[in-house]
Amino acid sequence: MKKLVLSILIAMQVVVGFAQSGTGVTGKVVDSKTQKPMQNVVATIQNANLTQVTDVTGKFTFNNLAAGSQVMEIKTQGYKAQLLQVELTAGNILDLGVVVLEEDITEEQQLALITITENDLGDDNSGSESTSGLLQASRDAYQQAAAFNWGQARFRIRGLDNEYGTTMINGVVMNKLYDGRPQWSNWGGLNDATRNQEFTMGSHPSDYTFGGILGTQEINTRASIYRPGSRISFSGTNTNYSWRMMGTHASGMNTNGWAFVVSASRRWAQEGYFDGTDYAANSLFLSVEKKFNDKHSLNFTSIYAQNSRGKNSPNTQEVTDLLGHKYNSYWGWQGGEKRNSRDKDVEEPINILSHYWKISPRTNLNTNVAYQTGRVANSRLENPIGNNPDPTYYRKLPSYYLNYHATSGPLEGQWQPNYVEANNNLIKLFANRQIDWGSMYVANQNTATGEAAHMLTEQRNDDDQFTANSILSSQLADHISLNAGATFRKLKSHNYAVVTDLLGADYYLNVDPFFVGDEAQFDLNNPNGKVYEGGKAGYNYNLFATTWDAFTQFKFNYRVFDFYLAQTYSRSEYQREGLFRNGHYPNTSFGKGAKISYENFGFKGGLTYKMSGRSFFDLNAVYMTKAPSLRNTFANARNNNAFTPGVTDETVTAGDLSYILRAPKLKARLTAFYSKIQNTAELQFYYAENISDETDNEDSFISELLTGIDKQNIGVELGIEYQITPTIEINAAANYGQYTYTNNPNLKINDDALALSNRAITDFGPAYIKDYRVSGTPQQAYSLGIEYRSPKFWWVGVNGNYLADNYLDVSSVLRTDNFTIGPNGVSFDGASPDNVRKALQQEKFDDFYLVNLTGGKSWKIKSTTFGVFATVNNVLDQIYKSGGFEQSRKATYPDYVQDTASGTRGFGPKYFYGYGRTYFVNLYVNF
Amino acid sequence: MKNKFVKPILFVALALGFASCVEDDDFAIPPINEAFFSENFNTAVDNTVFDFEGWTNYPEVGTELWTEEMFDGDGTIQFNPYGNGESTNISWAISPQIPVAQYNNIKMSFTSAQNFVSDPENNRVELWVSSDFDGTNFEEATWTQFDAKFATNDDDGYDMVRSGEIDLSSFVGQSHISVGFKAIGSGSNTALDGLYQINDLNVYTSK
Repeated sequence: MKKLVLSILIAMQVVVGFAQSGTGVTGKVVDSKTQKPMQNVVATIQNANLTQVTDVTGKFTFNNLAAGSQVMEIKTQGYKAQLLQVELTAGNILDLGVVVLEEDITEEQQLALITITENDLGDDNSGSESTSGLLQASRDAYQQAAAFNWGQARFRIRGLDNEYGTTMINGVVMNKLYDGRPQWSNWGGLNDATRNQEFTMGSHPSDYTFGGILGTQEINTRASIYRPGSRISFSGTNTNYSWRMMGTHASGMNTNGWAFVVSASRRWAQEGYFDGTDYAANSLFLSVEKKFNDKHSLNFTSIYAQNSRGKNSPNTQEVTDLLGHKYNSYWGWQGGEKRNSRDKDVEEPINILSHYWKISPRTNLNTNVAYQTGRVANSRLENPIGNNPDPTYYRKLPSYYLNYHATSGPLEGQWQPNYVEANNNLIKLFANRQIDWGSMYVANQNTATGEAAHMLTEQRNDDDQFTANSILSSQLADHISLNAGATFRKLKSHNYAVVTDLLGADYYLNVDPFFVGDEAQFDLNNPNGKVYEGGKAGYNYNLFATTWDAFTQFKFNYRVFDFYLAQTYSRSEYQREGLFRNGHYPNTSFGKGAKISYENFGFKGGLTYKMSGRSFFDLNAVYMTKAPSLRNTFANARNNNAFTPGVTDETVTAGDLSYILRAPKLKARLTAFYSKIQNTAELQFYYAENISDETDNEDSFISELLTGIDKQNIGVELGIEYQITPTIEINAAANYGQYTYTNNPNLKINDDALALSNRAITDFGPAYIKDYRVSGTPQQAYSLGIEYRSPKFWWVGVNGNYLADNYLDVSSVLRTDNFTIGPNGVSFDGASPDNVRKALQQEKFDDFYLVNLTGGKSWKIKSTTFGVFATVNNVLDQIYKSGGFEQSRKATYPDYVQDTASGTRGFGPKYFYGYGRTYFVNLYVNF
Repeated sequence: MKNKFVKPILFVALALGFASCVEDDDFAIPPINEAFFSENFNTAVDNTVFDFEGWTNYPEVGTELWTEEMFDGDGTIQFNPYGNGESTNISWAISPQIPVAQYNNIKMSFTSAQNFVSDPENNRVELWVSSDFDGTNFEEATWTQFDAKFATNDDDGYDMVRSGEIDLSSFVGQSHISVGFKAIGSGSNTALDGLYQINDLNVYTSK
């Protein structure tokens, strides 16, 4: 043991020895725990772009170096990289002796990264979700802070949505064509099997793709690159799940050229952190590789991840004040169990066959075909002829009576609070906090015809996607390398609602009860259709997408300058096919609509100036156009084939400039970044009242089409890591950003009720959102941490974080003329500039502090490692708002005034909350 | 070497950053339209000749005058040539002088309704605006016609139809304007004896 300690302590030092011939450096790399030599570790001389890979004995040797001071890096997947400063004298090979690599604890930490589920904004349940997936980058103090400390508060790097990043498995893009975001649950729970990852930040070049402006994540599942061995872990936590079991085995390459990796995991919770959020996820992973000869290998990867979780409701301040921040209105008791009415189930297995061809020592070609199929299901209660069972329905809250205004008579429009009824509502709410499933069964058994008053449906996206791509990398000359790739993707996405539980009723009548005659028919081809469990209801359509893209990238590496240039071209073709003939759109809903196609291109380039072996300047710039997502292309995909008016390619311009310092004890990066996204669109689909239709029709499903949006993100990132002693490290990170809308985009509303008179789309004119902040992330974040790593294989760290400038998502409809100006062209009474400014001021959430603790220890007994890893996040149990959105329902100034009369808003913003104090404990065995 | 590069680049980066910062209180709001002249005619006395203070009720051709009408608390003014026997009626309801000197944009709106109109081409109301009408000498004033949406026989009888926004910015810089509604019909030709009502007149400026 003592010897071990010693070798770690001297790892940072240089044990000087001399060998013969040439100027260079040599050393032997061993694992800190096993003391075994490590093969395939990469040793790089930083300033010279010279790389060596260690041999079976862990040895590397450089022998043609320039004399003088050099910085070298020794790194391999899963271990903490070592930076060593070496002084080389001409004619001598410096012997570093034994270089010890320690396992990277961030690998353990990543296991504790809980997916933060983005608010399920709107009711369209878009297939994928925005999470902190791209935050899982390691290595850099800033990125680590972003992932492990700020991620829980929904921090987004550079304020960008995931659709601006590219996530790949074996070079196959996993971002969905539907909305451009990856569906992380597709490989959730398989942390061990997906830990071979390469990241790039911003528009930095990736070897696999042109990428976006947020960065790329490439998960490599080639079986032969896994460290052979087995690992079993068991975890407990109180976040979105309670328990996790995971087992993984990697065989390594055998003498016949076969290698395989298997992994399985299960995560589950009866109830997660928020009330009524159940969780069940099973994941299986298999990867098999056959190496035919030195040139050809085939690898097959199959990932099958099932994920089912109960969602939690965003709540108004009124509801949270009464029922607490963990309150979730979506669930109710049934048969002694908590039954959530809004589950999200994801099951989309991925199969990838990869061919690796080493054409020459300098050229590799990787070709993949991938097929993904499956379903995403979001359940939802529908109340075709029943009352809304939501316990927090606005009429059931005290605010309904507190803000009551007379609707007729001499006091019309006057505030007439009814405190008695408000109190009655309060008493009833406490007595009926949750959905009453029983009463829905009763209602269903008492309808005149056996028709369902209530029923549970699933809104389904059943996707079939085929992808084929080839990625070439070639060292064209000593200083020039080429990456190139081409990808073809073809998607068929079947979208429909299916009746999953009639709750005791005989059938569901497939009509919209808020309309009469043909207009009420969801499917004119099958009018007044009776739908039974398993039958499709409401809407039913296919989306087709075919995309091609190609890129080339040249990288030039010289002693003082590195630079690269890349370009891309893509073509996207979209089409909708209606499978129902909708009563509002008898001529444009059924059958295939027109095809629409977009052609796009992009250019990027960058330069690294190596001032010395330890300090660099790095500059990147990109200009690209981007096709609108499938989701934004169709204005009202549920009901017709129409394209969204005004949606076109968006334009993305971005750049960053960094100063990077990489000294043996001090690593730092300071980056200034800028991005401008122009002509983008935001479509929201929701059930609205009083926006365009006159009646109090809460089931009017409208699309809000905001087009031509410009956004600007600017900011500064800082990350510093300082090794005070070999065992104590300090790290600090900061993000100061400002993410704003920079214009007043156009807003249109599509309302089915007006479709037959050909006025489905109403132009609301500009939405005045210029200089509002883009929501969804704290724009300021600071972190300071200290970590102690004992040579005796335990470590502990504490981090303090301060997060600020997180803003509420503002309603665009509230910021159109509609809010201030009445039908006669004149502003509403009291709508003075000051009052309107006060009403529309964007809410900024309170700043908050997060203190996080981490620690771990491992033991080695013979060849088996036992370990424990634990984190406590948000130790101070801060309750904070992590996101939220304004409701669009009260869309005029007088409505707003009425809603705020009592001080308790009935239609105030709805909020999401961050986790309070949570823990994560992981026990693992490696053998 | 080091400082020579580091400082300027960092400085430029920071300067770029802070130069484009916006404050929290700095944000766009939708336009506010403030009416500086409003008349909802709710002080009308039912079935009397229209004689609101400052208004001019001028029969250019014939003798038919605009009248005040009251229905369920909602007042309006009406032109109705029905049964007066005159072959042509052209009557003006002209607002008082509305000061506009202080505004850099001028807009207006009103509502109109009809009943019994069968030929809206020839039995119609027009919108005219003058900046030099002194309240009495109609003939000496210069009048400019503006497009506006008026009720027609496509609309239900007595349904108030919104005019839409009428831009009067050509009068920016004048001291005042007068808004005139010119009604045309016939008391003898039954094809042209439909009635018109005007209501909810607003002249406003956008802030």
